[in-house]
Amino acid sequence: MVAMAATTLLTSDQFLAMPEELDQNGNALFRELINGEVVSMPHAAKRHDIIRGNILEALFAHLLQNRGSGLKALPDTQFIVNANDTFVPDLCVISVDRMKAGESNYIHGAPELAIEVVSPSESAAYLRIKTEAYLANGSNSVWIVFPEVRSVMVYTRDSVREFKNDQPITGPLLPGFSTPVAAFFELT
Amino acid sequence: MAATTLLTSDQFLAMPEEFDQHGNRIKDELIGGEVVKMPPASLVHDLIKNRIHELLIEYLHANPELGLKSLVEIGTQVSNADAFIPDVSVVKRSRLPGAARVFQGSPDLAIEVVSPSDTAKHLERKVDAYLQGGAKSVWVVFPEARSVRVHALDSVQKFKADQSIEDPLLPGFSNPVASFFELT
Repeated sequence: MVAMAATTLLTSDQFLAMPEELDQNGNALFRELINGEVVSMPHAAKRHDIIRGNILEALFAHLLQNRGSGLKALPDTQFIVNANDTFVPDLCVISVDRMKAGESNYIHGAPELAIEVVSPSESAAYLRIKTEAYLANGSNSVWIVFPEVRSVMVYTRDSVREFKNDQPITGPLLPGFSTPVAAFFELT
Repeated sequence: MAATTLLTSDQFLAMPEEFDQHGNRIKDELIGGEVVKMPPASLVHDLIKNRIHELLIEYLHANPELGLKSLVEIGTQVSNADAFIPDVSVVKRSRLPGAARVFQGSPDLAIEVVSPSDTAKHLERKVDAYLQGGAKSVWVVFPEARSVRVHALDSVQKFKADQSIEDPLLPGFSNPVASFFELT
């Protein structure tokens, strides 16, 4: 349980300098910093896990066919997005060069593409804050995936668009990406 | 939770989830009845996990007749006293649909990439529980030693360097172990 009061706002530097919060077995807790607030991460349910897996597979398939893109798809990677936001997107696409740069446990800035699969316990306010922070700090686009309605909202700096059913998500980062949105929800 | 309070998986999964002040659930596992919070992994740990997952996806795309799917960090209810989140799970696709909130039983293949915070006691328990719970094999990946120990019910085998893991579940999977640790 995060003991931090909701009103205590931290910078990313303070957050990362904090001693880890440990349970009785000496394991540290999973946390993010959202707009200065420390937020513990929920563990996901099967549907969330499968959807994340399906999208990752589709991204791998696309990037394998586009080896020259210099991009890589990763789950659960920690980003210091700005001074007040440290996020772990469910999935991200980033340039390989940025991974080589750091030996540390996190990457500075926002991923080229951040993907969040919404779970029932997730707050709408935090989702919006996260989306804005990703875009303001260099993300080309943010996909917010809604399992219940089987749709994906794709945010860019100046647009938002919903994709569903047999539509593949189009955008400049992944030209030719052809997996229909419905395939993201296969086996769920 | 005191370390001496042992729970069953049903109790663990039925427990009111532990929430922080923002209503987010906290990530944890049940290991031999003990509630264990998941540590955030290091980037190197994640890169190795992702690399193995990527190699498995490539392999499974080339071998669709196996009917298997590779997934990262899915919640599993392995036994009465064990609810784990393996780094990588390879499961029969037919086992995935269904109403259960958490995947039931062991994955057909469970892969754990060892972090410095893993205790030997918990690792051993997990390997045993996966195998008892129906896993055909468990791969335990050691980043420092760049080796993989493959546990089956009646054997354990170590692979490293240019050796490929021989796992009957994945016939012809021919990536040398060293390739798990080539990170970009």
